[in-house]
Amino acid sequence: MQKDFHYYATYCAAYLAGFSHEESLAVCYSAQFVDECSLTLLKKIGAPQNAATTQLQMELMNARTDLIGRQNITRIWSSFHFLPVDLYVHIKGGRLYRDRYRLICGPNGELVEETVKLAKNSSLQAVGIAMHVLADTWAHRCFAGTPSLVINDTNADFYEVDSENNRKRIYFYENIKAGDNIEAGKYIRTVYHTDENSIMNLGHGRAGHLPDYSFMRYVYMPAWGNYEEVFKDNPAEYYKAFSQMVYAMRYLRGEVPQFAKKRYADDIIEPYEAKIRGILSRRQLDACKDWENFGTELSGREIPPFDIRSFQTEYLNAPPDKKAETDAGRFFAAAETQKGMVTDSIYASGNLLAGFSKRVRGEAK
Amino acid sequence: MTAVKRVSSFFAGLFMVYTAILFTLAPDDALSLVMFFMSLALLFTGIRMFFYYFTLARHKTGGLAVLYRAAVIFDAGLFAIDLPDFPLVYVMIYLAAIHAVAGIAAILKALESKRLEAPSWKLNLVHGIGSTSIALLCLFYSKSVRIAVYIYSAGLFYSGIIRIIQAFRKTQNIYVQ
Repeated sequence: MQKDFHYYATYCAAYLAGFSHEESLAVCYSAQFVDECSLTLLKKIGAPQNAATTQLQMELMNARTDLIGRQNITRIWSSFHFLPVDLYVHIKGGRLYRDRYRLICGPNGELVEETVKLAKNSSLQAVGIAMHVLADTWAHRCFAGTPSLVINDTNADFYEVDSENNRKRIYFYENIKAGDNIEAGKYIRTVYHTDENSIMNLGHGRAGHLPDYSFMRYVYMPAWGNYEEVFKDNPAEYYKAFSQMVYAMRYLRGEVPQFAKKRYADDIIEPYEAKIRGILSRRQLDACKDWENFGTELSGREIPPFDIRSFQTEYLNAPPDKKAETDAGRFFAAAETQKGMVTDSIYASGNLLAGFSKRVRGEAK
Repeated sequence: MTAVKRVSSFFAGLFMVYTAILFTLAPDDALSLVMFFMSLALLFTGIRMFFYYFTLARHKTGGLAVLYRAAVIFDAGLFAIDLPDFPLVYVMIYLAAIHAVAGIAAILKALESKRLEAPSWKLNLVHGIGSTSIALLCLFYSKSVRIAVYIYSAGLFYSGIIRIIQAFRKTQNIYVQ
């Protein structure tokens, strides 16, 4: 997902869940900041480097892909963008393959429940992080947050499916400057790299930005799928993501006593269903304006554009002993907690791809 | 990194540094050794790809292609080792290509860092210009045995030092809630 959903749509979901305008802004700012909080940014403002929630393209290009480097990449991408759906799923193959397969992302897994519960009674920044993670479990379904050719690769069998279920071939190319062309069905993606652990094989890089476009309905053959096709209906799945975000935030506000998987807030968003589905289905690369208009309609207030410098300025200007109490400080703390929880869970499942967990090892002893 | 990996990384680094120094002391004799190493690298790449196929790629849609590629590369490695004389120009093209890619990547990283106002951009830019210059040097002096050996040795020396540093590097992989 991209800024249109993580920022503007998250604002709408927060407002529908009962948050005030100001609270909704705090939630959606943090949800979007997950896509901006890189090591480069953290170093620049002197913030804890463990709080990195993303990696810039050039950071990735320079990232080591030996075991330690891959563990660092996996901790970031599995914790915030590709939350594993089932860490204990049974699959044929040796451990090397099984560990990778078990990191495939999907909605309604145990970890998404843990993620939401972790944000309970915490800061609005923690809520924003949880909403980013939850939303991405829908968009990034079928891809893993670890560099792996045998999991994340795609082939030429890639088709867009229209509303009458007709297929249109999708062509990929690597010309970044040209960008995606919806009408021609041409999209950019990462370069094919035969190295299993190449950064080119991280997440949905081999499927380009298609998983992040809400209008896209497509069929493809995932590398892990044993020659079976997968159909992804983004408008329908994004609608569920939106509905689940509203439900999760109602739980976080205490309006729903328990958070359970596969539960949604369809009743709350039902009056706006046509509007939301309309935005999600519109064929456009960026739906920011539509979501912004919807948000303004809902609250009657203006939604300021996302400004990456807000957190940085606030954090830099705070005295050392007050940094933890800033919104940015709370974001960093929540990010470390989320990363710790996911790393612990992956390690506890016997999978070392995200590294070791001192806490889990200590408990085992 | 495990203790065994640390030790092996340290000794491999030491060996690479030592070999690089030896090569630069006797560049005319070293070329045949450089070429032998490169052929050996091809051979081991083939073996590694066979291992990759049997452990991972056999589960992948279209993974059989990995098996075919492994066979071809392994065969090419055997063939290259058997060749009595390897054309120098191929060595230079290989060296130019790896340095050019590294140089362009570092320059792009520098531009991105500068845009984000990160102080590391100058170091990246110097690294990028250095690597790109070496790539150009390879192309301009594609018939010089000495230049080929010096550039290969510099790369070997650098990799060796990095391996030694990595052997002593603190492992940062523990998170506590």
